[in-house]
Order: sequence, then structure tokens, then C-alpha cells
Amino acid sequence: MRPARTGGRSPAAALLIGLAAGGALGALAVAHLVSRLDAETDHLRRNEEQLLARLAALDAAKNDFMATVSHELRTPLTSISGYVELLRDSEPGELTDAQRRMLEVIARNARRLRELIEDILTLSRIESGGFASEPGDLDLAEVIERAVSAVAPTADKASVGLHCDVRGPLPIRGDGAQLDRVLANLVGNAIKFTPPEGTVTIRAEHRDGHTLLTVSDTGMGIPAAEQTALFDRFFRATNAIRQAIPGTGLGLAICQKIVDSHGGSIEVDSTENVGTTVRIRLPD
Amino acid sequence: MTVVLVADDDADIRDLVAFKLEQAGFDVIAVEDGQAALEQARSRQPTLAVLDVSMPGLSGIDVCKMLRADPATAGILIIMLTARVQEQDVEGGFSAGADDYVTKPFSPRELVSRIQALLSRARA
Repeated sequence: MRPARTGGRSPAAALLIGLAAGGALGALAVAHLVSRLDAETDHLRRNEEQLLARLAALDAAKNDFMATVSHELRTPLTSISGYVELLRDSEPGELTDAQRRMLEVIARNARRLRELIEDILTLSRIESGGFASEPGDLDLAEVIERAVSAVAPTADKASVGLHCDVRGPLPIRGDGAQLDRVLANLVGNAIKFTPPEGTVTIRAEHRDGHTLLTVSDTGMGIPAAEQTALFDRFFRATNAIRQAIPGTGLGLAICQKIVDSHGGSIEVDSTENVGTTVRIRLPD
Repeated sequence: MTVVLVADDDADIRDLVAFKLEQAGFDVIAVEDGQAALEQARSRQPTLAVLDVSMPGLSGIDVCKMLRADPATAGILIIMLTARVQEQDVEGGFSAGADDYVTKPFSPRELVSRIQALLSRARA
């Protein structure tokens, strides 16, 4: 279909005809077309500006809403987890074993609710761009080191071996707090889904203008049929649910958003009951 | 006994904090809004105040600024309780002159240890 706004001819064609004719009529036709084009462009620009303003307003409203909801949820949650803590701190003998177990369930679920609230808020902030603070020059090897020392006690407790093969320094441009979050999530997941005596290996190196990071584990893996849904929000693998491994199902969605915002890519390679490898590629 | 002022408009949280602090051996004054916090701070001269940031009327941040501005109450140690974790809220609390902040949901046990740490730092 021809564009209607130039009377059945493209502006370039009309201009050429006008120039070729060289006469007053051609010049008039060109002038007319140019003014119509200007008006159209103005109109389109105004529409686009209005649309962008509306989108920005919607985004701000969503952000506000998320912040308010998260605030409103935190207050009752403080009471639930706080009073449970008081009960659990009571003198030995004041509670029966069965009651203690019930309190533990309440505490665990309060913690789960808290993690959900935090993750939902984080995701909403990343999506609205509010989380993308200032990218700076950093060393990914340091980010990895921080994550490893933070999770080392957890790995120890779970009897999971933690190995690092990092060839630093690995200079990249990025947001330190966001990348801390990615590392904490990936290494935390690897430990969480790996049975005792298993291993988690973190490798990072610079190769062909990219920094490659892999986190592999010898854990339960993700069933093949479910792997396409891995990055969906609230996705949880059936084997993880069956074994009652806690999680919000938002961690990988958050990681993906962060890696995307760094211009990188993330992929997962997993075999059930063998292990999972997550690969991240970040540009220089 | 060390006097601690607790201000939170949520009765359950106010009771929770008051109970835990009394258990830890503090003399607790619990109030439900900023105005009452200001009055009690002036008349009772607590060593430390635990202020919720969002209270109707005077917010915890308002109270904090007013306590800091008055030489009679400027020396009171202040811990802010906040349900907002955004950086600007935390910065807001510190720029108002708070000594520490604790985000909700918090562990009452942890709040007590933060209070004790602040008290021992102030004594040193």
C-alpha cells in the first residue's frame, strides 16, 4: 500500500519530480508537500510525547503502588515474626515440643513471605529502571569473592564443597549492588539445590571481549520439560517443591533482568539428578 | 535503670518492642504518636528513643529533627524503625540525625542488641 499522506507518491519521488520539472508548479508542489510533511511529523511527535508521558505516569503509579504495598505488608509481618520470636525465646518447659514445631512453621512461613515481598519489590524496581543506579568500573572477581565469602558458612553447613576458578582481575562496567545480587542468587541456588557431599563450582574468565561466568552444581537439576519456564516469575521446579526446598521463584527472573540491563546474556543447562550450570556472559 | 522511649502508632508493634525492652531490663515509656513522643522526651529525658518513621501527624523523622534542634534533648540516642528500605528513606533518617535505623520486619532480639551496642558506644 502506498503512503496516503503524500498523495500516492513517496516524498522523495515527489521532490524529484518537482526538481526535474524545475518550473513554478514543481516548486509549489514541493513546498506544499514539505509543509504537509512537517505538519504530519509534528503531529506524530506530539502523539509520541503524550504516549511516553502516559507510560511514565503509569510506571510511576505502579512503582508507588509497589512501595506502598510492600510497606503495608511489612508492618503486620513485623508483628507476626516478632511475637513468634518472643514465644520461641520463652523458657524451656513453657511450651511442648509440638507447639515449638508449630512455631517453627509459622516462623519459616513468615520468612518466606518476607522474601517474597523483598523480591517483588526488587523486580518492580528493576523493571521501572529505579534500581539501575550508576554503572561503574568494577572487578567481577571481587564481586565473586564477596558472594563466596557470604555463602561459605551456608555451604559448610550443608556439607557442599565450594570451588572457585576465577582468573582475575576481570574488569567490567556494571552496577556492583546488582551484580552482588546476581552472584548471591546463583551461588545460593546452587548450594540450596545440591545434596550433602555435592560440589558447587564457580568459574570466571575473560574471553573474546566478554567476561564469562559459570556456576555449576551437582544438584537435583531441573526436569527437562520445565526448563523453558525457568525465567518466568514465580516458577518453581516440581522436584524443588516436592522436596520442600524454600524459594520465591523470583530469583532467576531478577538475575535475568539485571544481566539484560548490563547488555549480557544468561543461559541454563541442566539435567535432572545430575546438576545445573548457569552461564552468564557480560560485555566489556 | 536506662529509660527508653518507644513511639509507634501500631499498637501490636509498640507492645512487642515495649515487652522485649522491659524483658531486657529497660524502663520503657511507650507512646503512639510523634507529638506524645516529643512531650515525653522533653519531660522524661530518656537515654534512647526508638521512633517509627511513619506516624500520623509528626513523623519519626520530624520528631528526630526537633529533638536534635533542642539542646535539652539533642543528646538522646535515636533509633528509627522504618518499613521502607529504599535508600532515600534510610538517608532521610540519618540526615535527620538518627544514630541507627532498623527496617521492618525486624527481630526484637536484634533490636535489643542494636540498642545495647549504641548505649555502649555512647558510654565509651
